[in-house]
Amino acid sequence: MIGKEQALNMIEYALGKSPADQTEILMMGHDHFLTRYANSQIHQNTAEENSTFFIKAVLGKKIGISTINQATPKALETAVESACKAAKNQKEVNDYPGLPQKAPIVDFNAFCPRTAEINAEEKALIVQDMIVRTHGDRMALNGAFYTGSYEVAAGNTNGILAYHKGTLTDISALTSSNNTTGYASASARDVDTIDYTRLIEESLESAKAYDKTITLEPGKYPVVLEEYAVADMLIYLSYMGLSAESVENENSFLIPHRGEKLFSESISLFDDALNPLAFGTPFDYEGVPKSRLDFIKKGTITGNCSHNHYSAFKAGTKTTGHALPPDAGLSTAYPFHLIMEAGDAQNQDLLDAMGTGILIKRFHYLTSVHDLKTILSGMTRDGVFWVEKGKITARISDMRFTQSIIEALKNVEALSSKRKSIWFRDFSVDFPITAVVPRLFIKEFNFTGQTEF
Amino acid sequence: MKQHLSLALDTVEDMGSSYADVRWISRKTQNIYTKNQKVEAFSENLSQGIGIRVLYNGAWGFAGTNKTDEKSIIDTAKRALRLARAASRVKVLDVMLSEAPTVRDSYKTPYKTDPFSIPTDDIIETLIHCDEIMNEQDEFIKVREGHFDAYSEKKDFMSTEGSEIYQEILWCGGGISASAVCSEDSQTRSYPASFGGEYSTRGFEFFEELELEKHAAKIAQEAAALLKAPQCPQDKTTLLLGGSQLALQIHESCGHPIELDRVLGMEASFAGTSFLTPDKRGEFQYGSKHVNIHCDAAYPGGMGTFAYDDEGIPAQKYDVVREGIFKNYLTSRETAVLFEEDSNGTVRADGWERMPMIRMTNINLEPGEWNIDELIKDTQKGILVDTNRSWSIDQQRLNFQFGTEIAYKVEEGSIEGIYKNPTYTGITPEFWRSCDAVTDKNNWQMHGIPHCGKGEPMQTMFVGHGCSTARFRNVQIGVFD
Repeated sequence: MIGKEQALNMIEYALGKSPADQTEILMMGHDHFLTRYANSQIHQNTAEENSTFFIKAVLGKKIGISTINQATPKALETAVESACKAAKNQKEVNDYPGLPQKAPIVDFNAFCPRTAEINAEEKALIVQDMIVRTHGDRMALNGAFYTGSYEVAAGNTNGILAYHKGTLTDISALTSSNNTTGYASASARDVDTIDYTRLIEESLESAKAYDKTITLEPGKYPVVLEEYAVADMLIYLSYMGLSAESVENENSFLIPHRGEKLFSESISLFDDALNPLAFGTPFDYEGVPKSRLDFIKKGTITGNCSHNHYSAFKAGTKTTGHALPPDAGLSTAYPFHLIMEAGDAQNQDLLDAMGTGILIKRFHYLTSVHDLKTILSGMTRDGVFWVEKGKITARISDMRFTQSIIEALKNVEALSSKRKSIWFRDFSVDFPITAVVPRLFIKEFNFTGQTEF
Repeated sequence: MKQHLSLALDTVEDMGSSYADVRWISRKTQNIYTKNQKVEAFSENLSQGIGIRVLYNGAWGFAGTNKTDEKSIIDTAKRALRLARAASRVKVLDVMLSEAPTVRDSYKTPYKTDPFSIPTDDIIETLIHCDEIMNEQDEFIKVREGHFDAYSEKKDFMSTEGSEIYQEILWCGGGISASAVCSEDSQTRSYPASFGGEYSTRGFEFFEELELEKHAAKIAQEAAALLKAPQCPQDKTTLLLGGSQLALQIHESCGHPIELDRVLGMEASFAGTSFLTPDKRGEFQYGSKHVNIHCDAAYPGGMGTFAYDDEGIPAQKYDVVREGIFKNYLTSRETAVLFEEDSNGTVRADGWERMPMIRMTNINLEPGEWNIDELIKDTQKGILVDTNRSWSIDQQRLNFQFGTEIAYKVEEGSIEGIYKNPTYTGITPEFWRSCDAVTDKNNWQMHGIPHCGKGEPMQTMFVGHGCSTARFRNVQIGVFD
């Protein structure tokens, strides 16, 4: 972490040194600590600090990008030179509109000093305490405990100059015995708000052995998906079809369904990095302010998709503030803070409404089988249960599903009133990808295979 | 820099560490991505820093920093030691390390032409020309993409056991793809592989040998033809796996399950564990007698090729599966000691900032005796699939499902049309036991995968898989919705 003053000074310095017609500079930095535990012992205890500058140089309609992770004037001069050289060797992007203009940004406090400063000894004690809590059930604890701070600064020659810093923590608890596993995780800005006792209880609850473990034949079953599974499904929807790039490629489900009421009134889905539950930043990686973007409003596909400055210009609209770092591509802009409106059901209400069916804790290793049809395949893991008359009666061996997300959302019968913030930490330490989701009761879900455990 | 690295090791030794190693890495990359006649991304990237790994009181600590001045390096070394000390309070067993040779050596990837020396406008010209060719083939071709990526890494390694190793690893590669789109469907064909293409630890000559322009028309025509092709039927039938797809099959169902850290539960909470438990070593019938798989970290051009791993262990070649029987894991110094053996040298980190762990090197399926044409002629009914489109496998690496870009329908010994949206699914050992033929060395090729994910934070590693087309019997195909 180099701090606001140095970050902005370095950006202004580099902008001043750039001979390009327009220049944009993004700085992303972090100082993070990850404690990993397996088989009830800490096996990796790591720390990482880094600051990377992304330079985008625009020469007429030619664009070049360079990155460097050294925060010195000399290093930045080298990187600016490299970006300009790259731009010179480029082909012209004839419809490039230039860099975005300055717009008001409202910063918010996302930094918790306690999360940034908690030391390795304290974290080890917390892990130790969690391990002790698994002893009574003869379980082993596996997982990871992340604490860290991040900073992002953006500036360009059109006057944008913005800085934001934050902290995040995330802790996971996979409890395991010879033949069962359970799981829970929690994320927050403030490490002291995590209820570790509750976390272990939740994990142990889903690891509990029942009198029997059954295997189910592939086929269509009613399901209740816990928040972890719902979040996985929605983040794939984001990749598959919610971006301007998918729409431009004519490969998004939004195109044939724009304005159509596909789902029940209870389904609303939007992106909002400014919602405190979403752990977002106040501006995107072009320095454009974030705002809410609705995708599904009371069951109707709005037709909105996420844009950066360039993709918006091509589509004849305004950026929605979803730019990614410049090396991701000129038109790449994903909604990474999806929020689904809650329903009014208690968790038990969902099981009661389902009656007989499957309760699923979590998915594993999802893959897009067909983007346009939003078909996803993956496995269940860490707690799959057979439910009869609203009560869990058996564990189920893990199963494979192959299911259209859109069809699944069409079949949502009820949503929980409580929601959970899920941070996809493994894919996004520097720019948090999150989803805020309820549990869902879906009346039909397509299982296509079994495994051996 | 060596003086600074030495100082880092001295610092943690003085503080009581029983072992430590340090890596300084300078990594340069160049990425070019073209789409529909435009350069969508063109970036040149430089990242450098050091990573220090410390063993203290039987536990690991690791710290990485991008700051390479003397004070920062010493502070980072102390940080690593503090992390190790804290970890040692929550341990069941002490980390023990197998013996390692003391090495003072250097290595450089052999290549003819440095890819970073090539004028980038020449590379862009090639990719844009491919784009034009693809665009001319059919009105339904809506998206054309091209990729070129080059990577160069300079790495100094030093350990408290006296090893000092300098390595320069270089790789490059790329590929093209064409997507045909109509109102209800979208189909893509790629060459030479999907998700960016093929890669090799060779110079620019590798990219030139791909001859992208020669293949542009064919993939565009196939993408357009797939829009009109019938859906791959659901069936249990004979499956021929082309090399590009078979490489990923090896990767997911053999490469990952033989990582010994994974087998021992170290990745349980995220990536999962493995069905290949230690009791299966040397005895388990992993595949049919036709299945011979080895690990070779020194294979010329393989993406998993180096001289020494990130523990200073020399690159090695050994059996993984011999005539169908599972023989060996990928090991580290920490895990090999459990078998009272030395490490077989597979530990790598994806950069200075990450802790090294067991990674695949080049995991290769050895060629068989069959000529590819004879194999097709010998197949009465089935499909030949190639070029990956989707992939998923359970956390013990048993139940898998893959999708490919295209399936060629095989009937009475010849190719009789194509299917779209092919998928196949199975259980790993059942699948490999159903292998009844592997094609010969003329059809064998090394495939490079630059984006293998493992660990937390996720580390992206480059690995290789050599293989030729193989045949599998009684496989479930056509699971789509």
